[in-house]
Amino acid sequence: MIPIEQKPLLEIRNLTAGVESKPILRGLNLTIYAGETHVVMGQNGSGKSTLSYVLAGKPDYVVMEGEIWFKGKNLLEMSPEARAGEGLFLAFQYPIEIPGLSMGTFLKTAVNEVRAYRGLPSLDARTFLALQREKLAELGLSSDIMGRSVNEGFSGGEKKKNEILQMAMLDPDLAILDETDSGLDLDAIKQVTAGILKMKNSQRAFLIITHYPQIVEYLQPDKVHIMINGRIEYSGGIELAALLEKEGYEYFKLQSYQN
Amino acid sequence: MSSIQISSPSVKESYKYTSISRLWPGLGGQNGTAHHSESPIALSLTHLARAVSEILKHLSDPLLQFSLLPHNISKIQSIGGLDAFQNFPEHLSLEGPQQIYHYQLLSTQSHSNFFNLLVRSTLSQPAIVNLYAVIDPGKNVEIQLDCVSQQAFPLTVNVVFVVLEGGHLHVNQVLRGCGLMRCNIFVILHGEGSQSHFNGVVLSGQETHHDLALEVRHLARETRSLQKVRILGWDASVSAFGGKIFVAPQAPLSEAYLEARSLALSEESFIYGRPFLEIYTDNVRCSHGYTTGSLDENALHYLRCRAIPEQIARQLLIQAFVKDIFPSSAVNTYPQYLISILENHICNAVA
Ligand SMILES: Nc1ncnc2c1ncn2[C@@H]1O[C@H](COP(=O)(O)OP(=O)(O)OP(=O)(O)O)[C@@H](O)[C@H]1O
Ligand SMILES: [Mg+2]
Repeated sequence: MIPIEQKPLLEIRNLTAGVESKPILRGLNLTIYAGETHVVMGQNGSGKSTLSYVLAGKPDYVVMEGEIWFKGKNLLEMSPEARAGEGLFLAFQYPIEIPGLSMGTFLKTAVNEVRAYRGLPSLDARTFLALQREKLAELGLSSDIMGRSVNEGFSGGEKKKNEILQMAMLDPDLAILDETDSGLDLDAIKQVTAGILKMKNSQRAFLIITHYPQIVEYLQPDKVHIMINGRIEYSGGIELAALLEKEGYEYFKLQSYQN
Repeated sequence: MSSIQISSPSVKESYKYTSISRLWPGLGGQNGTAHHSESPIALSLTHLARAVSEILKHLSDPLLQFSLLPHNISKIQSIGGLDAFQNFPEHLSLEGPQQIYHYQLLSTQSHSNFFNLLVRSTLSQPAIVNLYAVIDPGKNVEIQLDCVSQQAFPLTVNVVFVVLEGGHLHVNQVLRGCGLMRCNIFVILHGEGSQSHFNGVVLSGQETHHDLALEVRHLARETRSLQKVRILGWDASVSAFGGKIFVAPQAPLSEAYLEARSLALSEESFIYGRPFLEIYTDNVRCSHGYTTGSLDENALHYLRCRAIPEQIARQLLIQAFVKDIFPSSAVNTYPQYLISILENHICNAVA
């Protein structure tokens, strides 16, 4: 049973944000409760990744107006690392390559920093390796990647799976997945969505950015949102994705002009 | 005094050096290059080349090998094909608080063709350290070169490697410390099929001025060289890298790659880089490149999004930039000594 007075996990109020002085998000509102899965769809350039960057605290993105509350705390006052420590995770649309930094060092540092933030002791090497091995296997990734540099020379699909691997290792409360399904082969899509479904629980929420109605089918989200021009113009259930597939974005744009 | 002569850099070669007048106003010569009778004077590459060709002429006769060297050179190492000498110019006083360390490390799981020589120069007076090494045919020599200037006294390090037929030379070098340091590395791939692999890291901070000049000469068929250089500039430091690859007419089917990258870690740091290719034969594969930039803000944000605090993220990225040149297979072997030096240095600099 959902408690009547449940507080939102994430609450975005009237968010206007952009790069330099140019607003990209224009008065965006979104509320997500623990345990929910939300899908955001929208045309190229509508501002989906901008939303994910603002949530993750990317320095060049400026918030001009509005508020963001995460677990009752003011997200906009937190550094990117504190946001991650609090349990916000962003799977990047374009994961960054870092030549010279090994996946092993990176992942272990990240896991232990998250644990330190949460007041937990570092994982001992054996537990860490066991956890890592399990997650790699679930995603069908070879353990060889742990000796390679972060994302360097990874195939497009490997990069996306690597984001899911990090999500699984960091155990977030809110996972934002920016087109993690793009560029994956059919098996990989199943592995990634299985990874997401396995992590679903009553504490955790997902904000999934995708272009594919198929993913909506797989994930059975609680809410589907359509973003137009930096604003969430339509919110509904799975049927919204079906309508979008049938009518296309122009239909929704027209509707929003008429309103 | 000897076949090895000392001269200041000629105008023609002044590209190797950048102006030091900002650091030692009294030392500034014409053209902005350092020239002062009491300051260390760089060996020009031309003179080094002449000296080396003399060495080579006599190499076949082991008895002559020593007689041609200047009388004030003392032989410090001779281990299975690697001969190293140090040379102090006559006008240089060795009195006072001056130290030169040469460490020799032998690989614990050594097989006969593999040697490590760790050369560490720590001086507290203006000085020149010269090291000459000949890699015998078929020998595989790995050298870790850690050049440290400890006080604000100019230090010049000249190193000449001659690699004979089928020999393999692998050098990992770090330049660090305070004050002015110049390092001239001269690799001569003299024998057919000889190879060299040079990894160099320049760590500059505060008001240091580091010059690294690297010249690789391919003088025989099917020689191969790979040069990777990383330069880190903190504070108001100045660093300069001049890298030159020379492929002689008698060196077809050779390969040479030079890749230098620098990272400016403060607005006041100056980093200069100049790669050169000089190729006199067809049928060779060569490439060179130099890039300079600052820390990748996107990578920094990526790490911070994984809960890694900014300072640690910076350290990891700077270390990654430098460690990128060491093959991952090298971890836990001798470069580890230099890698830990690099890691400590970067941690202290970022803290
Ligand atoms: N750093 C930036 N500098 C300039 N313009 C930017 C920047 N980031 C985003 N924009 C612009 O803002 C708009 C929204 O970009 P965003 O990446 O958020 O779109 P998106 O909805 O994620 O698109 P896609 O589906 O193609 O990933 C685009 O017009 C883009 O060019
Ligand atoms: Mg996007």
